[in-house]
Amino acid sequence: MNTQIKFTLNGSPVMVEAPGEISLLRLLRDHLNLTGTKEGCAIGECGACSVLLDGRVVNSCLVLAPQVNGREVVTIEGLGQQDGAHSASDLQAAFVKYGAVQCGYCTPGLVIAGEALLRSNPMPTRAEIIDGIAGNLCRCTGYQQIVDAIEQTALQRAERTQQHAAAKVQE
Amino acid sequence: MNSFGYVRADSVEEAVALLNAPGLTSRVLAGGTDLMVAVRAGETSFDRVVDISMIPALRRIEMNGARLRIGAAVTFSEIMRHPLILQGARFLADATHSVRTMQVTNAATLGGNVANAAAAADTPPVLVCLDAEAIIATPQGEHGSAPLWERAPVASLLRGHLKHAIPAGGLLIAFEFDPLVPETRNTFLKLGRRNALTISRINIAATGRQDNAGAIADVRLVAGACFSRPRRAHEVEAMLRGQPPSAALFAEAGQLMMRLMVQETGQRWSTEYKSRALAAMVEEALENVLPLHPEMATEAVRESMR
Repeated sequence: MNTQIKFTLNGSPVMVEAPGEISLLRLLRDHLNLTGTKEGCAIGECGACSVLLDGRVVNSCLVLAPQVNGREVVTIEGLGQQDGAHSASDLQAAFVKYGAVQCGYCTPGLVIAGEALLRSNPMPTRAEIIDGIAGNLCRCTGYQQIVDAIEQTALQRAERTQQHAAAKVQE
Repeated sequence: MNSFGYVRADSVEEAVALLNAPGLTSRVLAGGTDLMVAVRAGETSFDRVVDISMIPALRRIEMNGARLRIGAAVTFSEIMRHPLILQGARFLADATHSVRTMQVTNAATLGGNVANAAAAADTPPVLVCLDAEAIIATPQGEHGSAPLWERAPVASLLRGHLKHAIPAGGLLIAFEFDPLVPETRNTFLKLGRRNALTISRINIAATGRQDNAGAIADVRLVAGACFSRPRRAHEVEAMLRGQPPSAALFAEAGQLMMRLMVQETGQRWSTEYKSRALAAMVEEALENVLPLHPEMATEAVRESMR
């Protein structure tokens, strides 16, 4: 049974006709062609399908598609967007720089989880970062490089905020 | 693929009416962390899900007179940082935090954890330890359009693994309990196969208060995933009450709890390991809530456990 689903996706309003009994993950991949969000376990254990729903990270395999009606979803494709143009976000660039990407399958979910963590806790300790990505499984990296990438992004953002503040004072 | 409809309820009255619409088998959808897994596994016992996760009345944490009230659709993430809960039932926050993964705690709800009634669930033992009551809206009037609000102890709703006694067509609204007074210590311990994203092999919820002389004035103890359902271990509590705390007494309490578990659930493949682990966890929980040297028991201990 098809149903109409209207929501905000990566900052833009979308309307899509889709079966009401599919997951948000299937809606994104099969009906909206956003294949950056991956299906790993499909039972909420691996975090590969992580997206932001109203700003909070959730497993999109555990969200029923029509549940997002009237709500806001951000996928990995939405993170690097600025004024409609695509480029890697600072966190995505740090993942590349610090070797946090190997096979790449878990990467979109980990970047989303890392972003959610940094938005709620801009200066996490390493232990807090490890806690923050506890819902994301990676079989390649051993996690250290991923923690490095998130930690360095936090430092860079803090530095930029300080520079902004200093520039404001000078003005 | 199984086919079913979806409808979002905006109020408790609407939800109960939708759940009791004639000719349709409806299921409650809240966080989806259990239901969506069942759907994927081929669960086809319903025609429609009623989404209750956006009903404002079910999403509040507030004081109701002297009682602390938590809406059934409040998420684990909301519980783990709410000041009223950190103050009045810290071990409930610890239990939700023990799930560890943000993706799950941002979605999973307290009502869902109770209604799913899994033996290894983390929050029901804490609610039972608090003697919490559930508030349930049950259908009344034509198609349940004028629901009746009932109260029942959470312990009475849990009937064994994946079995609950919520009346047919009823909806969990909230949980209510007396917040713990500052003199009452509380603890939640969990033994799992990993640190994160794991169900409890055993969990313990406990509270304890000592009188001025240091004797045990009050103690409550609940073990999860050990008995047919979470219940207060009254036998162990009675043995402890009035006694001065000591390592020997706590060891005896652990042994008694272990015997109760084996008595009720019988010998299983896991019993040899689980009974020893349970005894050790009971001792640790009692040391946390009834410290032998209260002046040395600090919040730092708890912080190191989180």
